[in-house]
Amino acid sequence: MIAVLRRLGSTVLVLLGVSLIVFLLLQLVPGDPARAVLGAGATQESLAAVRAQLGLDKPLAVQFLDYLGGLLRGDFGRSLTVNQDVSQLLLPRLENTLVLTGAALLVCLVVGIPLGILAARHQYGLFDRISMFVALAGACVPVYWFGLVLVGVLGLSLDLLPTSGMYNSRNPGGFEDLLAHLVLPAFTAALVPLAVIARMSRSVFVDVLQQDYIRTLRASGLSEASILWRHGLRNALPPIVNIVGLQVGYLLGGVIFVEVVFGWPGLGQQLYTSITQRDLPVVQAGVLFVAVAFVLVNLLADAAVGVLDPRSRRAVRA
Amino acid sequence: MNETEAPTGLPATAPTAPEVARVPRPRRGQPPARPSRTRLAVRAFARDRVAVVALAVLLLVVLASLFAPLLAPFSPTAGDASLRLQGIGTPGHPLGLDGQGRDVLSRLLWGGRNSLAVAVVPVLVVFPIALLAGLVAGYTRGHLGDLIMRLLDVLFAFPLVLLAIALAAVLGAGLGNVMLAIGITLIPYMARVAYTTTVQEVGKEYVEAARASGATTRDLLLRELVPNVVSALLVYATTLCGLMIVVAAGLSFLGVGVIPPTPDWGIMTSDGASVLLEGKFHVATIPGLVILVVALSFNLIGDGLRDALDPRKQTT
Amino acid sequence: MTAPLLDVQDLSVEFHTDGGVVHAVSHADMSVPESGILGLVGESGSGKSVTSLAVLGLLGTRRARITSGRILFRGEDLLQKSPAELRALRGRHIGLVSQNALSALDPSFTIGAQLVEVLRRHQRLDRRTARARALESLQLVALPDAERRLRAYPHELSGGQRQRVVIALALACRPELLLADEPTTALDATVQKQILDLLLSLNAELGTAILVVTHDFGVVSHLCRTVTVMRRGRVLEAGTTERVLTAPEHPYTQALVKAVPRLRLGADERAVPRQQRRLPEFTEVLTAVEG
Repeated sequence: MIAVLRRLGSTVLVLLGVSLIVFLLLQLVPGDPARAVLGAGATQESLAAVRAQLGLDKPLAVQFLDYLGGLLRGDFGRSLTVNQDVSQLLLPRLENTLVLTGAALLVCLVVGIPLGILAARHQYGLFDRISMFVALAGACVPVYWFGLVLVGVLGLSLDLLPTSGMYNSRNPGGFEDLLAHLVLPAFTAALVPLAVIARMSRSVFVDVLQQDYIRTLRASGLSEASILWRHGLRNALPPIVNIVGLQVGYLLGGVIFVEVVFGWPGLGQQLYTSITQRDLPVVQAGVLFVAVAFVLVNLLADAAVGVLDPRSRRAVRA
Repeated sequence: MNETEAPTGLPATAPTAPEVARVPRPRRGQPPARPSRTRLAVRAFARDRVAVVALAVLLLVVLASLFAPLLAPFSPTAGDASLRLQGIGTPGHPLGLDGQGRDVLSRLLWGGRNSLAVAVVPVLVVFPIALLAGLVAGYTRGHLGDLIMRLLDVLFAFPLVLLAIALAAVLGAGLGNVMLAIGITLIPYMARVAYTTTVQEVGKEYVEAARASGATTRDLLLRELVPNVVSALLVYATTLCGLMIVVAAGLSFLGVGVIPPTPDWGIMTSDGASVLLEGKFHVATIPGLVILVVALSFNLIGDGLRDALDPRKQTT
Repeated sequence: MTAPLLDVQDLSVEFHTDGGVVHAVSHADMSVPESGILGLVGESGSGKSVTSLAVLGLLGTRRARITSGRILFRGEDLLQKSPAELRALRGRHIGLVSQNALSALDPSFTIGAQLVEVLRRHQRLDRRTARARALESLQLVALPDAERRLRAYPHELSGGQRQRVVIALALACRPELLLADEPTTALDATVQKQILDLLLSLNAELGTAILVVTHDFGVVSHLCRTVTVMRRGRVLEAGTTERVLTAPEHPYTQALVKAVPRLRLGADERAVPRQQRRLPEFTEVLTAVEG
């Protein structure tokens, strides 16, 4: 119970720190942020207006408290380029990003973990060597490039799958249309974390299979299936869940590239557009959203480990 | 996130602090009973065929980039519009030409300089900083150490790629700013590895033994601890170089990295994206493959290093 | 005289390592009579544990190879059996009490769940019956508060209690043979004796034959009727415990036995200060004699 409270307390602290860093991002802009936003030809009045809108005319500490207060009220500022509140602009896109990330995560779990387990089962065998080398190479693939290759080969040359957007623009279908549009981006986003999860699942599993209790189970005549998928998986799961939680971070980062390549109308694509337009409030809020999502996912992962592991606290040997 | 966790927000494949040499070094005044640790490691590395091949590939790429002015047949920035988008195998242009009629091979060679520098320089600069922070936090276990680790926890809340993009975006494009952005992004990851290894090593019996035999703190730090932490960090840094090649090129791809028309593998990939619709795949494919091969080489070298620095796998 | 329950004949096992071939066991013979207790003694690396793993068919297929011999269990050669036949045999007819009591139980499942799974694997039992049988097994090994322990996780038990559960698991299906691989090494001295006494009483009650693998002559003299001494993969000597202890034939055993009686003298003359009733480890004796 105390451990849970401590964990929650540290999460709050981390979130506070996160908002401070996101706030400070604006201070990192070389020179006058207002000029950076408007460009060299801006008039004094418009500069002053932007400064006032960003709150730059007040002392730093006051600015931060204002910012924090705004966040708590759900006010993330106003876009400088689109006449819209940032939250209005970003929330629907966040939803789209979560759809894509969720689908990619599903691919990672369904393919990555079993791959790692099978490799561990045949440790040093041919399957292990080949699949783990491929996974290492997969972990090195530039996502944006892989996306382009898929667009080129499967989309443009073979015309198998849609390569852009979430729905067919002329004839938007329902769930099926969404699924078809999801395939390429989800697989692209999943590639690197999948490879990492496979490699780490393998090493966790190799470790588990060497434990004394596995030998006890074998000596009790249990089937390999039960040893692998019941006892092995059950014991490997807590560290694997932690690993997956951390890999969601890479997924959330990589999704930015994927959304740009596949024209997926999510947070990442908006972030990209706003960066090019130097729409700093949108960039700030976008970064904040993703970071908060990542922190919450890891909180969830820790909670899951607490539930999964009867000893509740076990060193993560990943 | 608790402290025992390995910094695995990364696609890097050496996320846990790797197994490192923990052989007690010979006491001062006694001749070493066996060859030096470095020599043993080099020997072990040389036996690892995969790692040696990866090192050779990497050296080849580095040398080719260094000697780009001599090797590149054409200018990396000036194009010949009449040959625009000619494919692989065009006479005089073995790797073809891009959308502006520039020679892909020449851009690849010149681009290597930026792409490698942007990835490797930050790792080299952050290395001593992270080492110091990790040692201080891990060895003293005091308020300063606590503070350092709390700060790093906050930075860990940002996915690596996102933090790099955000920093690069606010700092503005350009070689120096990208290096700065990547450097800041790297600090928590590298410091965490230094910290974890330090804590692990301090808890081990040989440190206890050294203490009991009257070693001073300075002796202990320099002779026992630092070599082990450096080894661990070295393995991790090598892997990180591979990852940073991909990330740095990604920043350029998004337009927050190196500024065009400066050649860079990420920019070349991004250039290729725009001509993909014209059915020309080579412009995007070639630089992407190079990034992949270089990143993979760094990872394989990192794996080889990890094994080579593990005394259980060394043989005299 | 009837045929022994377990009869290992001319067994040789090789390991293929990076450094070459290691002959872990060379032409070893040994036998365990019905309801008998055999001590298999040797220092680490002598091949005693490998032998017991070979009996269970758990050597792991990749690097270990059995190059000669037969392992007759109830007259049938285990080396000729298929993996599925061996699985059906393990836990049902041969149980294992493994080395490290503390880590020999799956930490993620309750003790009841582990017992029930093994029982249902080998005998067609419904859940209720299996649970009742699991409880019986725990009572058999004199685990206090057995009913409640069924729902406990291994980490909630002490080392001695866990070893009792491991024995209960091995005996759940009432096998004819129990392999006990260093059954007391990981335990406190006082608990060691309790576990040995438990094994003795189970042997008397159920008639379960036991093959005890140990480096500890104290265990042998407490438990075993016959003993086989191994060193470097070879059997040096075999016989009744009394004969081997009083009139050892091989110089290696003699060296050992010469060291043993000295420990029975007054406390001030003990060569190795150790816990009471526990004789020195094999290797300690050797260094005392050879060095």
